[in-house]
Amino acid sequence: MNSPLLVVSNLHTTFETPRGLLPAVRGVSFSVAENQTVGIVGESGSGKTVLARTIMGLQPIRGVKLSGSVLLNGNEIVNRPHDELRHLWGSEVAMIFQDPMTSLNPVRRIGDQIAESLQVGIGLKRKEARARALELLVQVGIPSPEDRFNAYPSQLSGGMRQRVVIASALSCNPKLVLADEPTTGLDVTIQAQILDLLDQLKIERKMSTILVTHDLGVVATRTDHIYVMYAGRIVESLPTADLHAHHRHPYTAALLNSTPRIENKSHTRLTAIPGSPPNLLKPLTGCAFAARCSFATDLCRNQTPELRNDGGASEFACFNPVGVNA
Amino acid sequence: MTIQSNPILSVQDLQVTFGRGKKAVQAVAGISFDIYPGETLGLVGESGCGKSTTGRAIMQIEKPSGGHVKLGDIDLISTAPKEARRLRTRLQMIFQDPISSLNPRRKVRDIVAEPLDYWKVVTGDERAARVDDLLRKVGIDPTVFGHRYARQFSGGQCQRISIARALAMNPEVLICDEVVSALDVSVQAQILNLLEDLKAEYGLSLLFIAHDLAVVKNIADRVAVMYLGKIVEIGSSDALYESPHHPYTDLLLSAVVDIDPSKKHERKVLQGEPPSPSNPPSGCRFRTRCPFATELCASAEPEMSEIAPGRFVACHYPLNFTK
Amino acid sequence: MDVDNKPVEDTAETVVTKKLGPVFWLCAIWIGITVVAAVLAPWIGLPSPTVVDYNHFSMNGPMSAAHWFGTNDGGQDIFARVVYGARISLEVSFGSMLLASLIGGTAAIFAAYKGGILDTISNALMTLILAFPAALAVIAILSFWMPTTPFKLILIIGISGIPLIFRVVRGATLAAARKEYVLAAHVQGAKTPRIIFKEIIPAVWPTAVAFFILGVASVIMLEGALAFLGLSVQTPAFSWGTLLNDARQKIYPPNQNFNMLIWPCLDMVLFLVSLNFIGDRLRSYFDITEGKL
Repeated sequence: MNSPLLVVSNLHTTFETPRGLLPAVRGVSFSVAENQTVGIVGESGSGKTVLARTIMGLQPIRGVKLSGSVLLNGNEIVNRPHDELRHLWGSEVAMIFQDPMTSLNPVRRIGDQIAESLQVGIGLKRKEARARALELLVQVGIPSPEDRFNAYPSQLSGGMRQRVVIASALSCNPKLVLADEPTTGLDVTIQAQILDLLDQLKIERKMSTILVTHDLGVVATRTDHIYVMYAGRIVESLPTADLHAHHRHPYTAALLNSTPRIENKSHTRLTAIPGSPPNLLKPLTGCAFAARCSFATDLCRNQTPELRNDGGASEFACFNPVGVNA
Repeated sequence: MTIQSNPILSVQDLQVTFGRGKKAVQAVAGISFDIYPGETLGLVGESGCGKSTTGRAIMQIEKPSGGHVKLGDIDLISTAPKEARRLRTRLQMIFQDPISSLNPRRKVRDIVAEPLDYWKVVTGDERAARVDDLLRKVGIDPTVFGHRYARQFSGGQCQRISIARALAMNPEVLICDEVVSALDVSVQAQILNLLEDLKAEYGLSLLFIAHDLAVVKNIADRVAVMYLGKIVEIGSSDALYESPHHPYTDLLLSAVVDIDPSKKHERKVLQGEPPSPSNPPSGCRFRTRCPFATELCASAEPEMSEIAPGRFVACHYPLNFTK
Repeated sequence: MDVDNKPVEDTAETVVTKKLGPVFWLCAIWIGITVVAAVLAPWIGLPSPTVVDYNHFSMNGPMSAAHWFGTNDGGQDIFARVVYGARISLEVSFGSMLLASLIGGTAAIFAAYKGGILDTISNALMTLILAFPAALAVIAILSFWMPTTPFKLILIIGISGIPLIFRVVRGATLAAARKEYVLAAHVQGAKTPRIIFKEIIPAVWPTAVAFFILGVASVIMLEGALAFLGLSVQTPAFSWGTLLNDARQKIYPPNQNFNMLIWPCLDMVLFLVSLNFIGDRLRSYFDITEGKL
């Protein structure tokens, strides 16, 4: 078995805000193998976007405290200055951000933007870079690519823009792609097209992917392994195939139960999770989910559960898990 | 559920056009539907289909360029502005962005009381009691939160306050425009449950506009599907999702993914992008992306017809249908 | 029914009192003192700023118990002149900004809220006025319309300031009018005036006040510049600007009476710095960020 492509060990990301220290990521450890697609799912405030950016090395130097380790192909990312990380960006790891309108420069033509990432990332000459950029536009399925090469982002639809973003991100053949909510805000049919594109590209290029999203449907069908995040920690880790029937953490269960499903009849009462996520500015004792969990006991409120496995497919951080062993 | 014979809200051939002359875009190109007392009609479609514009046109926020919108017996479009303003108490709307729906500089109690103050319905103690009652009904404790400023609340809480404000004048119809789209899944569930409960308690009729098909199925009794300014299909939630008659509905449902991987179905892919509303295809607007389009579809626009009791579809070759 | 009864601390905004800061209050106090002193000048027992005090007569006299800042070349008490000089400076600056704000602000709110042709015309008009270099226009007009009085200054500077206030208030109004809570008020049946007073103005006035204060500061400086050109108020009236101009003209060897220069200058500078500081501070203090999702 090859060594994993990405190893995250006990990662902590804490922001220094005027209101105090905000620990957005509170001790996350996981790994991503070659050719693996991993989903990180959580709601707002779970820390998943901060985690993605920390893994990428995008956190600013000032105002952020990092500890732990992120090893990408043996390169340490944590606490390294951006200058040193630059040679990794694009060629080893790339990120696809959520809003294509802000991740593309609105005053530059799209062909140029892709060509630029090639010139900077792998040092191609201008002519080669433009030729390659055109090829990429074809690969991501942009119709009439020669005409669209000189278009501005505002002249393209949301789905097209996201394809351009993907082309640009993947232009230098990174081994790992971090996609942060890549389809949020897109229509469901376009969403399907974009996810299909990502699937196809990652098979062709043998890339590993981390898909960060709040959409359970997306992770359930497009990933090999799922990490569920809540309040800055991973609360459950399990193979995707086991999500529906063999999840163990009450939060995962609650999330699944509160999602409306087409399969259900109309007016099925959803099981809402009462309350809201904890305020991370305040110190937490015990399990972060205890205040909203129907199975919480005093132990849960006093001690923080660590990830453990009791013989099944899932690793979960809970003293009173639901379900039974797979 | 029993459908009474007289709809509480009746939309007939509604049209909304933006811009003038050559640059005119018909966002809503002639749609008709009814909402019966006590029912929730879901309005789904992708971006650009005109569903939000429809809601706003019914509320008279956008000026319709044609058609009729009847609340009971009164046509909202042809009513004089003064009377139309009065009618606003019977018809209310909740918006997508919970945070900007509330004035951050005002206190929650004042926000909810605003319609009561404006219409001079109740004063003094009765006003305070009414406001507190409304807040309690939406799950916000007025003794703890009533005096707080709107900016101090989370998205879900803001949406609850917006609902309380909308219910202050006891409206008959509530239009929900993407009201849960900006919320997390767990909060979304809270709000959907709340709407269902309030609908029963207040006897409301709902027009629920959304793009999330699963959400709409959950809350709606009947669903209307829109594409490029037109309604392509209307039917009861269960029946429509179970066996759609319009190819667009079918493709739309096919693209929705379920959490249970074992339920993976054969996905039919909807190719391409929607045409521009400023230049819609001739005949049936969906024909450019429809796998079953023929010459007839290009030359003649299909009319909306009731092919089964309660099932309306605008298509020359409806699916799952044998004459 | 899920009740959202969480303890108060768990609402989106953890309680953080936005403080204006000690420097803010220092500046505010200084402004307060200057303005109050200027307004109450005739009644607070100052020596006369114009009439020469023959009891303690000295031309270009040094700082003493009788003349705190010394005297100028005409034997007039400098301290009194500095305090009194604020009167015209403040009258002109506040007056002109008030004029600009009332006309520009009101026009902006209506133009921006109503939109359409009203907005287009107002914008065009303002752009036209802005196209004229304000300072030059003011200078030109005053050159022909002698003698300069505070009223003329207020009128001319005020009018030239309208487009700036218009632009600022228009921007703030557009931002506020686009918010969904304004739409919600409309949908409840509220009429335009009510919406403007209850929703738009509360959102707009903090920005307007901040720019008002900054505007006052720049008009004081403008008046100073006009004084240097001889276009401000004429003797025996005087303002900070004319005091400085006086000093500029009169201080050359052998007259080394820097008291005529330093004290008006210092007073004016401190006042301007204070104005700028509180204007800026108010702007960021009132920038209410809406709650988090």
